[in-house]
Amino acid sequence: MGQGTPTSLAIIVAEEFGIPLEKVKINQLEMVSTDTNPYTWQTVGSRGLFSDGIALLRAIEDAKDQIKDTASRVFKVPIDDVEVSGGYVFSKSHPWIRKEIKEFAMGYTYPDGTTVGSPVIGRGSYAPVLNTFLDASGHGSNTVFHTYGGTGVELEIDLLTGKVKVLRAIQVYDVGKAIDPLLVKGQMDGGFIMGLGSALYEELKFDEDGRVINPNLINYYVPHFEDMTASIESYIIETPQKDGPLGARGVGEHVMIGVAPAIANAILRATGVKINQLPITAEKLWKAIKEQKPELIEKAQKLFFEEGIKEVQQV
Amino acid sequence: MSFTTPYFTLPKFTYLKPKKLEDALSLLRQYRGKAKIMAGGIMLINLMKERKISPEYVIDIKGIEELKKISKTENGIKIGSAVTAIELQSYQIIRDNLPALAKAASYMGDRTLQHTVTIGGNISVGMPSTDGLPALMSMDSLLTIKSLDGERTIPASELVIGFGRTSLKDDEMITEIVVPYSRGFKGTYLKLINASEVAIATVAVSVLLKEKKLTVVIGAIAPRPYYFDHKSLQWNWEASLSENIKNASEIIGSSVKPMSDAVAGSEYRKEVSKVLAARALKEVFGGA
Ligand SMILES: Cc1cc2nc3c(=O)[nH]c(=O)nc-3n(C[C@H](O)[C@H](O)[C@H](O)COP(=O)(O)OP(=O)(O)OC[C@H]3O[C@@H](n4cnc5c(N)ncnc54)[C@H](O)[C@@H]3O)c2cc1C
Repeated sequence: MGQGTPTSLAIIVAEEFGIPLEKVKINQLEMVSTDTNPYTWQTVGSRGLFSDGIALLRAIEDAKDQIKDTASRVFKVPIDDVEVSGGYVFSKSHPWIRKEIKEFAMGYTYPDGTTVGSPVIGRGSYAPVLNTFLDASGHGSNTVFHTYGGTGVELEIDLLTGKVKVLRAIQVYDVGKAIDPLLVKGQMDGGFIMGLGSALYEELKFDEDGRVINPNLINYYVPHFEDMTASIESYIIETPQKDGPLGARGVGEHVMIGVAPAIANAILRATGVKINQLPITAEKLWKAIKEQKPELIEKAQKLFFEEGIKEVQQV
Repeated sequence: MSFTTPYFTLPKFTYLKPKKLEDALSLLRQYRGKAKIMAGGIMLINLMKERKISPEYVIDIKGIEELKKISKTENGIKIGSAVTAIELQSYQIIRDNLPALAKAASYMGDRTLQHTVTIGGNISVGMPSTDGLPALMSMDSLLTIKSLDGERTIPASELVIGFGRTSLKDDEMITEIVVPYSRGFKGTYLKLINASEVAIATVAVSVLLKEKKLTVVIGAIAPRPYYFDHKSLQWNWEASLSENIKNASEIIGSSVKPMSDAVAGSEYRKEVSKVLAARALKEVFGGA
């Protein structure tokens, strides 16, 4: 929901049948209704396209088998000789024997009205098979795929107040196959901003009795448009995931993970100040600079007062 | 699904929208203690949702034309209490003559809220974090307060008497703000927040300079803003600018007693007050 998975699913269908994208209808509301549709799990673990995509490919295979069965009878060729692609159903050995896919959708109807075959409804499902729970020591295999990548940032620190401004970000992720590159980049930009929120702003605060003292979006701050890093460059690498749909693996949450470490490392490189707790608020960074590198504050003050102020006529 | 938690519902109330100031004042008298004025409603509605207040009558003053006017007179610039934050930033006479107020208005919530937030409502909230009061105080502004009994004028610095509390009586209304300067002064407004420009301030500083008069107001760090002038800052017009700024910043640091809350701690606020005051002073004197 919201990440654009239905668009990527539609692209897969269009590609597999070789039909125009606009011929593929995915009803997003229906898709999430278990009254009318099969159940799919939550959009968590960046698994949406991965799991639904594999199930979809299996359903496409099933639909193609039904079409091939009907077509082999119509073409009078063995079923193995029938192929469905490029918008057509055809015989591999006699490719001039072919018909448009749509002619088989409801079963095939001869010119005299007699029919063969039946309406095509493909079915497919997917559940990870080699996964295990984690054991007491945290070992096991609880994920189907691993998405790798990296994040780099360029930032500015106001040494006197501790306020950080991220000026530029670069991120590179290996998504296996970008079925819709624009959607992947959208996920990457969005993931970066969510990462920025947890790196710099978002913090639940409690009073002594354990009550949350910032139970609203005024004091629990999530990034606004004004907080968007001016330049976010997102690059995609495609090393196919063998068991992924068309080689794709998930991307979304992964992108968040690199943001805070990149920011903390950039701060460390710039100042030598180590911060191991999120969020890195201006106040927290100011305190850390004061404790770990007080000479930086002194230097900044000196710069401000001794070199930064131009003497002017005051009245 | 039904929401029963206070965050989602409003208590029952009667909504009134008078067109004339006299009608609003009579309603305030008639329902004294049971009514609340609504200007932008941004704060009022939230307080009602949280059941911090439950007025039986809500008197919307946005229909009263005379509260929405801005004019320039010999005594300075007069601003109606229902003028919005967006208007404060877009009217040429505010932008040209009261830049600190225009800048403060640009911080009153995000762009969308600013179409609704009013200057009168902003200062009547009485919360440390609102940006209107420090700006108005630095310009020695006066507030015109009316009730059925008549009119009185107080300095802006006497409006807030404690956290979320003002010196207004419950049948009184701020009708106008008078900024006694209209030309020939410099001002600026700086604010530090942890994120972009739309969040509760850690510290806000408003500075005004006119000839040999200098004021510095520090807001957002205590229930009431701190007011300093060239005398309390021991400003020496003969000394060097950097010496003066350094000295003023130290005096501010040793005089303020900031609060600690969900936004920031006391020690940090004190330090940031010094830093922002120094930067604001440098800006108004053109010492950049
Ligand atoms: C997410 C968010 C962030 C915000 N951030 C900031 C910020 O950073 N800085 C900032 O300054 N503001 C900020 N605001 C807005 C601010 O806090 C107030 O909500 C707003 O200024 C109130 O103005 P209003 O016109 O809506 O007042 P209302 O909500 O209508 O009124 C507020 C109070 O004042 C009384 N009142 C209103 N008008 C008058 C009058 N003329 N005479 C007497 N009493 C009156 C009302 O009865 C009520 O008690 C923020 C608001 C939100 C929601």
